[in-house]
Amino acid sequence: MKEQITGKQLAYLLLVFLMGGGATVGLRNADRDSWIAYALLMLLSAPVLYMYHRLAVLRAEYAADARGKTFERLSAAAAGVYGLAAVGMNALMLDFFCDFLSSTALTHTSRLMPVVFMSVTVFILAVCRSDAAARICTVIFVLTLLFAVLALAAALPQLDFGAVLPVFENGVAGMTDALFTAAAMQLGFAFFPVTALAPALKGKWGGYAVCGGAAACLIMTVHSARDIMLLGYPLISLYRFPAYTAMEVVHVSELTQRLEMLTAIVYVMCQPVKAALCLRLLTNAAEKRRQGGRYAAAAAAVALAAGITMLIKNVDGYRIMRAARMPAIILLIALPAAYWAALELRRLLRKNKKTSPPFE
Amino acid sequence: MQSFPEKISAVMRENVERMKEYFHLDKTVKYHFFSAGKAECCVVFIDGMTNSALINEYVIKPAAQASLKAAPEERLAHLEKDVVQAGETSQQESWSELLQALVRGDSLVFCDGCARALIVGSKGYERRSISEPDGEVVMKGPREGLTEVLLSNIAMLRRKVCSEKLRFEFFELGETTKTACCICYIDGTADARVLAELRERAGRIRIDGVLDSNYVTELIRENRFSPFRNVGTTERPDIVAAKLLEGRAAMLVDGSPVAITVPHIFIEHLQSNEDYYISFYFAGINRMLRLIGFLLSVSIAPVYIAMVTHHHELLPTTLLVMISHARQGVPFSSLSEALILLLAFEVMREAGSRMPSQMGQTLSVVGALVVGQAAVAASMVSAPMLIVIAFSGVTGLISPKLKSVVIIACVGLILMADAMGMYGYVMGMIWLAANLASQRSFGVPMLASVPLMEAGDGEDSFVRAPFNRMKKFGRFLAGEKHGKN
Amino acid sequence: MGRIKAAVLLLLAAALTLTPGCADLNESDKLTIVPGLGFDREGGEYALITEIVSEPEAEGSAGKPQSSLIDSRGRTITEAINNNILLSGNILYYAHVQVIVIGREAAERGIWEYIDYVNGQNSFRLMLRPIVADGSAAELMQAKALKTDVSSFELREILASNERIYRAPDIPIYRLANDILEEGIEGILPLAHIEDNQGEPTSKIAGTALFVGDRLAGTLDETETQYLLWLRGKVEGGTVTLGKDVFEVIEGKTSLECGRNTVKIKLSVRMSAEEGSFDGERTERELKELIESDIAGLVKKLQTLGCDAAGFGRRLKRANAGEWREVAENWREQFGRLEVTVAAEPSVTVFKRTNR
Repeated sequence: MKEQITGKQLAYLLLVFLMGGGATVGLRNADRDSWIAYALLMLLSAPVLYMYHRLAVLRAEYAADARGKTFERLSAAAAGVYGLAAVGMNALMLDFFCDFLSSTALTHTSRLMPVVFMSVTVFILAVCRSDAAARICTVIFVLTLLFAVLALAAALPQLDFGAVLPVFENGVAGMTDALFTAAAMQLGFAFFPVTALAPALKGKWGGYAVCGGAAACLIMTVHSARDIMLLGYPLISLYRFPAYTAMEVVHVSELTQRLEMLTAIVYVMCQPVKAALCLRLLTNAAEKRRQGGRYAAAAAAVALAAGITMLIKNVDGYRIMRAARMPAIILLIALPAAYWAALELRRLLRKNKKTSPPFE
Repeated sequence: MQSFPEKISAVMRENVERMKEYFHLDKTVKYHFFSAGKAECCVVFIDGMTNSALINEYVIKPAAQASLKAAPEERLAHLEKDVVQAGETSQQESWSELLQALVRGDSLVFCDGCARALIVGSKGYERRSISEPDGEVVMKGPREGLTEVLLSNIAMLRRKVCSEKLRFEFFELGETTKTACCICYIDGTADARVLAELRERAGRIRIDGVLDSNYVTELIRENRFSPFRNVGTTERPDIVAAKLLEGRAAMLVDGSPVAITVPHIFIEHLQSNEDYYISFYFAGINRMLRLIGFLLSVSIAPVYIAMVTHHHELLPTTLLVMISHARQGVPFSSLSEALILLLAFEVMREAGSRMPSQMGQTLSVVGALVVGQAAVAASMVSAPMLIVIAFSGVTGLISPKLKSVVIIACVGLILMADAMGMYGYVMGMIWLAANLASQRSFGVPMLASVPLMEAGDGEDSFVRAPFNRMKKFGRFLAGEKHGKN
Repeated sequence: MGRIKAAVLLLLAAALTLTPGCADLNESDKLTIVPGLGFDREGGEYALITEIVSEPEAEGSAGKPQSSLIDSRGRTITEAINNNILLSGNILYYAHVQVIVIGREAAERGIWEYIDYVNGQNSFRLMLRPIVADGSAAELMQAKALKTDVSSFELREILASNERIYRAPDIPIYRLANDILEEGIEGILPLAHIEDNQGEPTSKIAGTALFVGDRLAGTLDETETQYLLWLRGKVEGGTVTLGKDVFEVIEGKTSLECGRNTVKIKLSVRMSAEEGSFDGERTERELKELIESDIAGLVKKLQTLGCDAAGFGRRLKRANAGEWREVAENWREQFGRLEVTVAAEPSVTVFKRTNR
């Protein structure tokens, strides 16, 4: 039976993908103006996601027309390069996750445990069919959304709305830095789920992709603002995981304490989804070459990522992330944009060729 | 069939002698000789399997009073058409077919000079009367249950679905038992691919005997090692009829009161036929209770263990102090305590389902007093853990169809929670969900019709929409949407 | 192949789940719960007093929780905390610390190190309440608790009940940390004393400890505390006593217009007559005068100390970042020079059972 997912499920997936990772626990050195960065990201996400959608559609057309092995070889090479980028992202996410666990709950547990458990989860999610993954992600989406809404509602009485003022007190440097990081690490990597799931999508799904991305960015904006309104600036800049810490101070009742565990749970649910969706490009390519090849590809990718994570145990993942921002932008936004432009041009030229009268 | 040649002989005595030799110690095989005019005939039947009144009144009596045609080739035809007054007759010359008919309860009439024998349909064995099945009791609604006789089950189905579109396809399973089985479906409603798949899988069964539908269930299901059922079973004809109307196919097996329905998806574990016989509000509440009960029974023990071993900060201070004091002196770790108590609970449940009802009262008191009171007082287990496991066990019984899932998932999640706290529990749930989401039952995804998984199909899942609000036929499998998936 | 795969998986599962993770696994009966800590400075050393919850006298869980105190010292906070493990048998569990009491002398020397320690340790919760003891922290923690035997629980409950009567501020540690770090506002904490209650020394929390930066600069009494809390934002409780008549606040609003040189405080408050008689407009006029003079007195006191506890600077910053930038450097001095005008609008309604 053919795998098929609906546009709505893609929107849910994208929301979980964009929101669930760093946005749930927050990124270090949060600035008072980080929320503006996420608001701008919302505006930026629409054209970028639409571009990914057009790219997938045009590429499918091109693939149908393309003759010869060149296209296939290029595709395989591209899949390899992007696959390596996905593995790298996987390793970085695992590193953040292990750091998070060691800093917060499981301080004495060796790194191997969470790495193994997470790797197995990522493997399972990467090899299951697209529609099965979409179904699981729908449940995760509901839980994530519920958490986002409840966290905001519970925090309302404690919010100090003036804490986001004054805007741009220290100039735009902090905000642009946050925007750059978010665009590279979150929006850019949305390339993977959109491209990997495109074959399973039918009909018009560009709108859904854009909506999912916009919704995610909106939630991230609101939550970022909420964090600052809860903790205050400059306190929030002291914490390694600001959103996680902000949740700790939300007081609901005497019975509920340390609500940041809910944040952590949402984080644990969304991280493997993000990692698995990144790896799907690789597993799809492997599956095309050989039936059942996706298991081997996923296992290899996951093992490689786990190995890298164990190797960079003593390196600060945050520094690696900052160093990887520019290459990520080039690889995931600039190059696809160029490719898309080329394909649109090609389509335009072909249309003109078709409409002009044949000279026989 | 060493003793029997392929075809019978024209000499009646020879045939009967052969049979007597084969069945020589079997006192149930009866031979009655009579003369029909000038021809010597013998009727052979198995006592207890046949309706002796029918044989006497409609075979022997008219045959004895008739005078058969002289020509041997016309004799049997005359006997069949004009003499024997039975609705089901056929002529047969193959020994294997004749013996098959004999052991099924038909009678054989051998006529001297005829190269064929007559098979007269005369089945009349003892059967259980129709009663409500114990495992599927409803407070309101029909109380019929399927019985072990295939034909009466089919008759019950026909009464519920009085349509010529209700089709039956018969075949045999089991090399030795040659059990009669039947696939039922409603033509035009059932999914053709599911039917084809079912026929193909049933055709591939190679087994010596099929004594119950569960033999068939295990042999046709996919994902044999998954604890989730993907083939439905039921003992009620109203449930079978409802499922047929929804587009499923059913299989009935002779000798088993349990019918098989395919495909079987996850949401059916939470459904009960009683939901359709009571108001939709109450039905909705019951369904939600079943779902919540399932989730609670699987989650409450692992979450508790995660909280008391890894995440003490999540508990209110007074509760933590209470738990800490309750655990003073308990020699086992929380994990061991939980597993021991789970084992004790399962043992009691299993023992309770097997023992005669007279012992039930005494043993339940023993269970409560000994395990509960004495174990806590002796500090062998802590009271909070006992409460948690008992609650988990009781909520697990809300949906009996999910019993095996609950036990396996609960133990697995307890181990995960012990390893990594809440993170382990969450990852375990993701693995369970992934396993469930990847499974299919005869081509239909297991999580079909769960709201949000597929938009727009929430009408008969966690709540039951009123009948006038359900879509065409209120059915979800029939028609385009899922058939094409 | 399938059997080998299954066997490997099973082995892995068993190894992973049954053996490790024990590093972080702590059974609840092996923990000693710490509900409160107290810090003093003696000489150059940190004197730490830790309260732990011990086993109840009665069998089972019906007994009341009891507590014991552990003394320890160290040259640094970490050393002092590590030293108290030597006296206790089990692992000390700090995630349920409700209050941290800081002695007066320690507060005068600076409290940022305590905040920094708590902030950095993931086990401490950010909602714990620091309290300044008007004396030594050890004395306060040794004082008898009335309801339970655990004085930290008692202190926490007193603070919580202050929410309605506004006799002392209820400041979680993260709020204090931000107030200290942020420009334009100073930190405040509740002040605790020992009082003689029927012959036994008992803890009482009333009044505010004012900080300039992270050092204790001065204190406020209960009435001043109430007005300070009104200025800081919430006017939902408190009482105003006019001679023999007592009025209880139902609700109110404060609006501050903070400029570089002037501050206009507008306060509208609705009160109900609790005790004594209420004489309509005359009473309201008298209340207005009383409130305005009291608030003006409070602001004067804060200006003398150079402690902008009401957050005028922060309001200026939020309203007009440009003006703020000009005065941000020496806000403490500028604060002392501000001209503050107070306009109060009290209104009284009668919610009693009787008519007058």
